[in-house]
Amino acid sequence: MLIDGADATGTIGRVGYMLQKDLLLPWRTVLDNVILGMEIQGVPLRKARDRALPLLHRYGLSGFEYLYPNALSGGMRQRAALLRTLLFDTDVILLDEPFGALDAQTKLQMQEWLLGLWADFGKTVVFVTHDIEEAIYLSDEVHVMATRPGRIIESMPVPIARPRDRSATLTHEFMAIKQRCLALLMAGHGSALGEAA
Amino acid sequence: MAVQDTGVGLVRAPPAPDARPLRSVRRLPAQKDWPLLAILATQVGILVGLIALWQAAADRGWIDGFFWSKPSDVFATLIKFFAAGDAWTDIGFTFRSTIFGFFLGTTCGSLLGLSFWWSRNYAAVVQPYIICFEALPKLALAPLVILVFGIGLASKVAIATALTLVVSTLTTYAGVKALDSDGEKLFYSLGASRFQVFRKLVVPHCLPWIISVLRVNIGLALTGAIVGEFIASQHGLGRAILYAGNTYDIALVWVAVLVLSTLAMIMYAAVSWLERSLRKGIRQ
Repeated sequence: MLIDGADATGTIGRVGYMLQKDLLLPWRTVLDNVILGMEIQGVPLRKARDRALPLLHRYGLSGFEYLYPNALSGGMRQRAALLRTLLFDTDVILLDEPFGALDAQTKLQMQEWLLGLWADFGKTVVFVTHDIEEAIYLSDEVHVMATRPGRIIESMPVPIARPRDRSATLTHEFMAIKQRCLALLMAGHGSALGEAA
Repeated sequence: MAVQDTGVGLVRAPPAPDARPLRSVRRLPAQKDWPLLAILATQVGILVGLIALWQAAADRGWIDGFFWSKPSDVFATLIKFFAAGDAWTDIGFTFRSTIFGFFLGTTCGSLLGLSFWWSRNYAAVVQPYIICFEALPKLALAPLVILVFGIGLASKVAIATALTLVVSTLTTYAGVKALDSDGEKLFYSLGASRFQVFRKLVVPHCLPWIISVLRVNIGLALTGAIVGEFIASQHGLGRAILYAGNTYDIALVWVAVLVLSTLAMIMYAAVSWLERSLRKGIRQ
């Protein structure tokens, strides 16, 4: 595994990481969950909180800062989890099916939210998903993967201009990529992997 | 055949060919709650009734007053027991052995349970010993414990500790095993050290498990202390019961049991309160 050309296999703390499960700690408030990464890095609590609060306000979690995660909806919890990942300052973020457990409408909202966040932070996001439309809509480049053995069977750029909105999903270009992905997946029973840099 | 317009994408079920015969209906069982006062009055009534029945039975010779004693004798002995001055020494002795055993057993047990998180190999090696100690009837070792620790407070504390330690260890270990490995992965992905994972994830995660055994343990600790006193002791409610039984002072047996139950209830209530406030503290 290479990051910026250097071997990073087996090292920890190099990549922000988020799963379908939000893994928020039930005994911490949303704010204290979000600063977990900084806290582990040894940033003083007060400073970490001061840095996190404006972000919580900006990205749709105001009013929830001092609540415990069990009081939040699935979408809100994923937002908190993603902010925790972002605040842990790494260049690369790995999102492993982050919206897989959300309902269809919340998922669409979260995609818009993620695009906004990505534009602000400008990090490389490796986004694993089974949702082809999600992969194409969010990514600059889509890698289609097959299982047994896990491998990339085809990579394709997504030449749709940014910033994108939903109408992009109805264009001819979009449809063409989607069709190609579908054909690959049907043939190889693989899954889609998006990447935005 | 004409296609019917079914409104907003609904397909209607065809009408039933003929109405089914009416079934006999059963009502959902409903229970009306008594007011709290009525419940309390009934409880007190039953208690008073039982005591009155006991008194009457002993007075009229339906039961042998020598073996069963009777409430009036028990009450007289109760006053004598507290007036004589030994009562508080005994209560204090039993209370101290129970509390020391409770804290020692619960603390050591919880720490031992948590320590299993650090190494799976260590946990695998130690586990059979824990299970053996769990299976062992620890009260059977009481005479040995008295020989080793003497007839004072230490032996009672040791027995109470032995009874509570294993329960705490196994319950805490269950908490450790229930830990989501993805949670650990998340911490490591944030660059955490093992000690940070332990302090910020494992300990808070296991706290509800640790707390859940407190009430069980206070009862076990009291049992341990009493059994220790039964075998050899100079003080304590257990010794008072044994002494009263040996001298056929049945009223004193009842008095000691009564005091012991009161002590148990007070400690149980205190631990329940502790448990509630701890739970509130960690907001599980």
